[in-house]
Amino acid sequence: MTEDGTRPDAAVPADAADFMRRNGRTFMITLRADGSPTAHPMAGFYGGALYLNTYRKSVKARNLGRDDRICCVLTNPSDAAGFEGALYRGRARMLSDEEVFAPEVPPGLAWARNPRSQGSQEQPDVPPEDERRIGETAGRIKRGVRVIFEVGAEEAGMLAEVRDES
Amino acid sequence: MPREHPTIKLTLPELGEFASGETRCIVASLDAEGGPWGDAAACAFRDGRLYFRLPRASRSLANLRRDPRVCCTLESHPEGAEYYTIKGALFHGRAEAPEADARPALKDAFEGLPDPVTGRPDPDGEIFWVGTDDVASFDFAKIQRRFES
Repeated sequence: MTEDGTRPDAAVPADAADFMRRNGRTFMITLRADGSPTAHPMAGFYGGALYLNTYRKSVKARNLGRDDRICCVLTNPSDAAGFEGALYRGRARMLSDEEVFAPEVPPGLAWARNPRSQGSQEQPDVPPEDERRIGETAGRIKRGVRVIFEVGAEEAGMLAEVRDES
Repeated sequence: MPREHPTIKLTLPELGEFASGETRCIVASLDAEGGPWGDAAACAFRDGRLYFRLPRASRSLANLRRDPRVCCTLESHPEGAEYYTIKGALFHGRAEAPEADARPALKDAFEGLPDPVTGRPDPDGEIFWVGTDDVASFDFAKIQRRFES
């Protein structure tokens, strides 16, 4: 078992898994309608798999609805003295509300559904509609405004290890 | 009555100013099956073009030789930054080779820019550019100003 209590993913080397747990700055690469690539910066939550939380009507979600292939580059902050990055490539699946709000979820999903929980299993507090707060994620998921994608790894590793042709 | 501003995009002058300060980008390309692939690259914005350099052995370079469609993304997101300070730009287009007469100046410009992944100079890397015809951008500071009158 890993530090966060998940089973190690065979497709993800230990150094990349450790890096992604500590660095959520994510560039989400998907395919546009014409098949060309696009790379959106966003937050990614790794733990068990990679979880991405986005607006249902966003370009990102629409792209994945057409073609589920996805490649994410997770990096350290933009002002870091030295760049570090990991690559995580696979297919994305939109999760149902039942999956998102299950009593026990992978740590990455616990972060993604409730960033304030910092990865604990704490169920998100959903305030009434008239008390909505900025950054209130779970209510937006329950109202269908936001969705969470789970990405299973087909290939992953630190960029330095995977970027070159074999 | 406060009026919602219609956009959080960077204007062209703002885009130029932002991009000119960035030296690393994420390069998105297509693999042999047309699937998405990503890497990091050194970059420099000059004369309305985002130039970027890929290592000779990289899968990204092989991808662009096969299919030049590319997206280069810049994002300023310092550690602990407030949400409303984040800016970004996605340059979509075709990866073009620089004209021969521009290459010496570009070589000089890239000399001081190490490859982000290795941290080392890459004098043998191949330089491309993508233009500003198809750019998506955002400045989250403009979210706060959306309802200013």
